[in-house]
Formats: sequence, structure tokens, C-alpha cells
Amino acid sequence: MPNPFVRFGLIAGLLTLAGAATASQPVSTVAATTVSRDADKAVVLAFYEAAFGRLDLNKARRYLDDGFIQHDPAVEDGVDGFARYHQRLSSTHPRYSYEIRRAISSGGLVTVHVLQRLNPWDRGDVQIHMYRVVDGALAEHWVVGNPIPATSLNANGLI
Amino acid sequence: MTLSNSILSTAMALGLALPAGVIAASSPAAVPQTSAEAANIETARNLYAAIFAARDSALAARYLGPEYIQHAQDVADGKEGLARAIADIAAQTPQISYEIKHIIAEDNLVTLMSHVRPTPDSRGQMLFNIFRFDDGKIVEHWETVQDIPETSANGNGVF
Repeated sequence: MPNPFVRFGLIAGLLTLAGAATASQPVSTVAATTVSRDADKAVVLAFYEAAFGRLDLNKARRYLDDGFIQHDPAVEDGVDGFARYHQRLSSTHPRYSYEIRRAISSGGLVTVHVLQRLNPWDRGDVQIHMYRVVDGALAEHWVVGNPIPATSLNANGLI
Repeated sequence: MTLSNSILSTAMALGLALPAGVIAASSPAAVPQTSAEAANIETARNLYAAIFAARDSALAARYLGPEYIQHAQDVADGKEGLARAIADIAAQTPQISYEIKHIIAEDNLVTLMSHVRPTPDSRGQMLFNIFRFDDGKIVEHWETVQDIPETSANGNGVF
């Protein structure tokens, strides 16, 4: 999987190409969809860095659509619901950390495979999140997660 | 088996190609953007049907590559591990049903979010699966699973 951060450069290059095209030289569909996929992924990664890397709620809110729909049964609906969840998280787990191991983007939906540690000494939880991205903002969120178990039937790790 | 799965199974039995990206009328299906991604989505659907509907490990093996790296904690590694899991499903939960709620693909990865009910009257579980493909075959699998809770902090449902 290409490093998503490296692909920011690709996004910028393709956007330049798209901007330079005239009406008689339509930009290819492939280039346009690649830009959209990577741009949506970039929004999710930027949101993660703000919300869960810096634990900066004000910055994180900029990435949330006003009509943000929450499906995580542990979190209240909307931007305000996310804010309350975030305040609980950052106050009880100020050393929270996460790693995004892979990201999948298509058709306005972005999935991220995340290892989170509420505390540095935790074994951690594996979560798969999905976001619907609309016009550069996160509009909807789904998640399923599991604590990393002490034992497994295979030796490959949960993530 | 749910209605949409019945249709899916019937269509597959007849050898009908389902339109790529079409899951159920209510699903915000993402349209795959390359023919390889569309083929991977179809293969992921077929594997799901082999595991949860046909419960046929020989059928499931058709969709797997020479190796199958398993990360789900309750399934042993490789094709044999999956075959044992399928045998357990058939023996222990003969009324199991599933519904794929979301499916997206990018490059060599496919993500599914699905609802699995071990018995018809159970609330069931929500699952995210990620499959990695090599040359059109599934070679690696990650998963997160949660019981669907009786109550939620929001009114949106978990899917």
C-alpha cells in the first residue's frame, strides 16, 4: 500500500493537471477519480492527526460536516456528540495514541484500519472505521473494534 | 438467509453477473473504479456466500490464493483454518444469515461491513472485514467483530 502521505504530492500534481485542462481537453476520468480518492483519504488522515494525534478538538471540528451522522453506539450524534466524546477521551486518556495501518478509499467512503492505545502501556484495540466524505468534510461514521486478545488461534497478530 | 442474500445466491447459482457495486437498495454502495477492483468485490462477495450461505470450504478455497494469512483471532491460519471455521459454522449455527451493508475496494484491498445473525431471532453482530488480493485471489484477511448492543447513544443504528 503506498504511503498516503507520499501521495499528497501526487494529489497536488494531478490537481495542477486538472486545473490546466481546457474544455476541449477533458481530464481523464482515471486521473479525476484518483484525485477524489486520495483527497478523501487525506481529509480522514488530517482529521485523525488533529483529533487523535494532537487531541485538538477545535482543529478536528473543522473536518466534520455540520450534519455529521454518528453510528458508533458509544457516541452521541452530530458534531456536538463527537465533541463530548472527544472531551471524555482527552481528559481520561491524555497519552492516547493511534497508528493507521491501511486506508481504503472509493466512491466517497474511506476505511481506516487503526491500532489505538488509550494508554502507552495498553496492548491496544484494533478498529476498522469507515467515513463518508462529502466536499472535504466527514459526514458519517461507522466503526467496529476489538481489544487485542492475549491469545489467538494464529500467530499473525490482529492487525 | 435474508432476502437480499437469497437474491444474491440465486443470481450466483444462475451464473448471472451482478452489477458491480450493487448490494441492497438501501446501501450507499460505492462504485468500484477499475475492472480489477470490481472483480475483487465480486470475489469477496463470493467468498462470503461460500462461508455463510453455502458453508462450503471447497467452494471458498476457489477464491483464495496459494496462501491465506489469517488475522482473525478465533480462526486458525491458512486455508485449513478457514475450512475448520466453516465446518464450525455449519455445525453450530446452521441458521446463520448475513447481509453485506457496505463494500468498497481500492487497489488490492476490499472492505466489507456486514451484519451477521447466528440465529434468525438474534440481534447479531456487526463485522468489518478487510481482504487483500493478489492476482485476483484473496491472500490475507483482517476482521473486527462486535455484538450489536441493545441500546445506542445515538438513534442512527450501527450500519
